Amino acid sequence: MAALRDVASGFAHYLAGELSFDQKTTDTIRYGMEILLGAIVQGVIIIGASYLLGIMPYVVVALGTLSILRLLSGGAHFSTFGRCTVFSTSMAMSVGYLAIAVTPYMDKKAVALSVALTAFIALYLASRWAPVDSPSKPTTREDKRRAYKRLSSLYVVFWAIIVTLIVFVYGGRPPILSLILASTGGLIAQLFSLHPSGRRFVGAVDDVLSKCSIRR
Amino acid sequence: MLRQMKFKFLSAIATIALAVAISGTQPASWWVLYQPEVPEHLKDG
Repeated sequence: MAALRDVASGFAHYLAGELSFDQKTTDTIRYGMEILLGAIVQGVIIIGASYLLGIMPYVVVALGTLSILRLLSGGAHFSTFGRCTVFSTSMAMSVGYLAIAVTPYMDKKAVALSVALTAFIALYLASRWAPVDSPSKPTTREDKRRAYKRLSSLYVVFWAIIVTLIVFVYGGRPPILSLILASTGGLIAQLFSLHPSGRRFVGAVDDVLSKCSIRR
Repeated sequence: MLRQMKFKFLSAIATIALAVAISGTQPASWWVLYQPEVPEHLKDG
């Protein structure tokens, strides 16, 4: 999104002028600012929409689970911030709603089983495909790639242990089961963006959205 | 006094932006599922 980049760039140049930074530091600040502003805008849209729909806790849990794994494993990317926001918001709302809709049909054991199954699939996919590179910043060093792979797997194990403990200690309450299913849904969404078929799907959605966008 | 406060405030923002840029971008950026254009000097060698 050009506007976001322009605002980040303008702010970075203002900071550079006030604090006497060189060009390299200004560029780094522009990049950090673009991420921060993107996160704030996307956060407000997603959390605001989920609040209006009454599913905020589920969406926040799903996004929290997804974001941590994504930080370690990478994943498919959209070419513009706008498309990314549209897709992320739809995905987050779907995961939140599904978690609530599925809960009445699940008991503690079924949820624990789905957590275990998701964790096994996640371990396989993380060891096979992580880290998925961003085209603008590929990880070329082999030791770094191994570290991200290990960290992704470690996170999945840690997530599975914590979530299973919660299922068995607090699993009698339906809202807790919904939160756990939302977290599982968030993890599955991130796994989808790790697998090549998921990346192809994101590419196809990106193409379709680019055709829908207004050209000035 | 105000100048000093402004300087500290802007420095704090710059520090946060630098920390986000340097730490949270490989293989993906913090929180957002969108990767902005990365400065050349931050790319993996």
